[in-house]
Amino acid sequence: MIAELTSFAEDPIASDSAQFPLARPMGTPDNTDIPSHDSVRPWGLRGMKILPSTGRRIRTWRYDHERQVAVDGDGTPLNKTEMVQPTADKVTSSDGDEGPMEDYIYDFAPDVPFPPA
Amino acid sequence: MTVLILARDLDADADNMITALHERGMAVYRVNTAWFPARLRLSASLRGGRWSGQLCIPAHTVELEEIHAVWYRSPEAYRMPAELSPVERHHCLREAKYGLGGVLASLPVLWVNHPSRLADAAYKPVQLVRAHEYGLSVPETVITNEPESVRFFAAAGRTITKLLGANTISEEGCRKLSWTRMLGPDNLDDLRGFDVTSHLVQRWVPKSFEVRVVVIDDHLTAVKIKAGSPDSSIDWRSDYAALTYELIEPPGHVAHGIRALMRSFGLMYGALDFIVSPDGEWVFLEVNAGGQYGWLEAATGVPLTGYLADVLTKGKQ
Repeated sequence: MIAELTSFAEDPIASDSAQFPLARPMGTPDNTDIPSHDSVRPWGLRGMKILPSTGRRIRTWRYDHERQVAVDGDGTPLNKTEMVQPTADKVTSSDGDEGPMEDYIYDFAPDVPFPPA
Repeated sequence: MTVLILARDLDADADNMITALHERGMAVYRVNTAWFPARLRLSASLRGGRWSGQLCIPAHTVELEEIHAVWYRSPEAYRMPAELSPVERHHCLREAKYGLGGVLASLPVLWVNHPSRLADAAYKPVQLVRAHEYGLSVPETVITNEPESVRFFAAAGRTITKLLGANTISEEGCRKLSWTRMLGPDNLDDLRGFDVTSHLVQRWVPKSFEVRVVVIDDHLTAVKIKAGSPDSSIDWRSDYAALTYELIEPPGHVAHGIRALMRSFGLMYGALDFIVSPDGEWVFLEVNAGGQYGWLEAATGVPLTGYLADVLTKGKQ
């Protein structure tokens, strides 16, 4: 029963559907599970490939609660530095639906607890 | 009059929306639900049939009664104290969901989009039925866990498969993703693992080009996406460098169907994907109620952030 409940309990607001467009929590370590044998691994996962990097790395950033935007180490808003601007030639391949943010997943539904704050 | 943005900390589109709303003279507050409970305090009282009170976040206090629009962008899950046992943590998450989540979800304001409407619209099988209902062409589709069913379907014509939900997983310490795949003898001969869950297979629709339609309230922005490589001709997400973009006007009946579909789902915002066949037919693939738009804004110059800011500024009519 607990396993069923955790499929939606971590969604902050949505109805109990377990399908809900939550962003992947930043800093969440990737799961280390090993794929099952081909006889049981879901066939739909056969096409999975390792997510390529966009080559874009933000060295230092923090969220500025006063200005309500992300800023770099010098306090300059990131959207003024073009470091994270979603331009067509820099878009990630993670998902065209969800474009430029590497860590953005359209319908991330946390089925397992992730590390606490 | 306040706009509430629910978003993660690192989100360029949310940053740009803060700027756009300030330029329109709007008071705007940005909250990430991941701040709860350590950096987000809630105090709400039921008065006169609606919740009033405050959300206290670092540097700001948000008066619930002053909120007139919410942009549900991509907030993160709550983060509970490390000291809690798993059972206690689960309890806290559930109480937070029904407490904070419930208070926010009850706000009688303009939502772009309301999370419950997002949840409703997340199911591709529902989208396809609803799209057909409103006059949009949809591809032949089978959803099954029976290997024989997919072989039978694939024998009748070119067939693709794609995932019903998120196309990414976290495994072996890294992120993996999957795009639309063309089925051939190599993957139809070995269908082990097909029976363990639902799979979607769909008839390949011959393409002249594809279109993403970004819908913001009643405003439609249709962008023609022309694939320039073999991979991107199957799934344009697989090779962004090979794509070119151009604005296009959808046929009247398609625009009508899109608006009806959006209304039926109660969505104010959505990104819809279409294939346009060589004979000019627009075939609906899916609607992404949380789909990104920033890179299309950059590619086309259409001020999508501004359109959305105008909708949020106007609020519920």
